[in-house]
Amino acid sequence: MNAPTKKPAPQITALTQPFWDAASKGELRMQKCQSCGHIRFPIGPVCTACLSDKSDWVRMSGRGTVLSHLVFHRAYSPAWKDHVPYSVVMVQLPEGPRMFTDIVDLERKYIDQDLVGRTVEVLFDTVEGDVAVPRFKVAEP
Amino acid sequence: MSISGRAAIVGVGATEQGTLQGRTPLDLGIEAFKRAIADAGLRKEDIDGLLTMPGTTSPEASLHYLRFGEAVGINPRYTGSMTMGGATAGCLVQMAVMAIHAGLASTVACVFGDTAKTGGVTFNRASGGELSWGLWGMLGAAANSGIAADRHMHEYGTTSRQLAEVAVACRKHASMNEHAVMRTPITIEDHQNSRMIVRPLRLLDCCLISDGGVCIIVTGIDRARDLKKKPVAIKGMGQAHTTMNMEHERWWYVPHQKQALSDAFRMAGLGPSDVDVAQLYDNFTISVILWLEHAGFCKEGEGGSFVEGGRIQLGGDLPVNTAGGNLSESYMEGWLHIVEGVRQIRGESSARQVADAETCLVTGRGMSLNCSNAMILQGG
Ligand SMILES: [Zn+2]
Repeated sequence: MNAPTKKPAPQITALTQPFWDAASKGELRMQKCQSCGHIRFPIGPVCTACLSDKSDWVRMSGRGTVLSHLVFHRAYSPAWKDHVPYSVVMVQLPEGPRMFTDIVDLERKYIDQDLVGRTVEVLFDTVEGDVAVPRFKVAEP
Repeated sequence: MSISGRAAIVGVGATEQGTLQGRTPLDLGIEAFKRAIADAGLRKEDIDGLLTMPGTTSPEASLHYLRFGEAVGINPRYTGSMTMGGATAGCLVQMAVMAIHAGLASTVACVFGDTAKTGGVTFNRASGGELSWGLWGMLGAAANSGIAADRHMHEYGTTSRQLAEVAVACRKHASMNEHAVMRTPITIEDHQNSRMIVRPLRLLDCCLISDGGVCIIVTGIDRARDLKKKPVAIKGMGQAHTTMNMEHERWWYVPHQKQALSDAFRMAGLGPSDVDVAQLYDNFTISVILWLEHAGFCKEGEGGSFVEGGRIQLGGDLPVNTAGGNLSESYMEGWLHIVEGVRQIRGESSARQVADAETCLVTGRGMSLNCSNAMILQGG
């Protein structure tokens, strides 16, 4: 049996470089505004609250709570074809930001469950060279 | 002077819909344009405004207005193209009304043509900017509406069988529309047995992918009264958008739609109880439930129970998507919703005509959950 296809690798830009540098070291970092303290995600050139362009890449705890749980039974890109069905969740981070992530669930243990309200934690999945994508898995109680 | 009722839709044209081998977005748009000017009793020389939406397969993209205008040989005083997905049709008609009211044009053609079906467009893209959500498998048109449906189910107890009611209603109406693509009636069980696409959304929760063209012609109310067909006045209009997604706490609920609807109702001096028939943008079944709540036909969270028992079918309290909608008539990204609204007010909807339909609500939504609009149509 062939190994499943690698999930896609990011196109790294000057703006997103610090995010990927952190991920390659096993850290989930997001931009915190130096002026007003707002932590923003998706990554952006200025603070979405006050427009300041000064920010620090601060480390997130790496845990979050599931707000919504989808199960993709269809692959909309070849990179995902070996992974269906797979879960994608919207996660609320305690630091404020929300993000989408797939759930790493190799045994398909959670595919028929409803993960809303569950705690998830980040892990880092190497997709190409030393580029790693932060994804989440279900935290065991 | 208020803009309410100052302009009217005087011509509508739609091509055959579905899988149209050998057609192009340009020639479908042209055919729709010819049908619409004939419907209005106008000549192309009467058109001094041209607003277009490039099809998903139109090579000209944002320069589409130039190519289309050249192809039909007109010199508009006012023109442009807009790409706002399923919100484009309504936003262009509203732009036409504003241009006419401002004196920048007298008669505006709004045009769309697409070959998404034969062009193999799968609406598979991911949203996100420099960090595409596709990195996390969040791809395709069903993804964000899946979030909306899943959150609605968790917060309000909405069920998949209630989503099915929307699909069943649209299909019933399409079965009465000889131009609709999907005409075989379905049941709630058919919906429940259809395959899962992106849980909680099944195949029969999803709209079609179609080829076709649509054109809508708008002119000032005085001129409209001298034309061939009964004018359909735009009594109220509203738009509201959000450019945010993850940073918007209730993004999934599309709360800005409420603003678009309340602005339209206020301009018209009407409310939801005045609406006889509604054409509500249905990229996915959940969208109809959200519109019903946002328009005030029921309370927040009660859209699921509202649609039960055939209430939005012809013969029910509030017939919705009487030509079949995006789910079953054809996926013209909301353009045909306006056409059906016009036909209902004119009394041209034959077997699916709502008796004494005087007021029609038409809504549009595009760019996933981000862009929305609403219009109130009445005879002028
Ligand atoms: Zn700030």
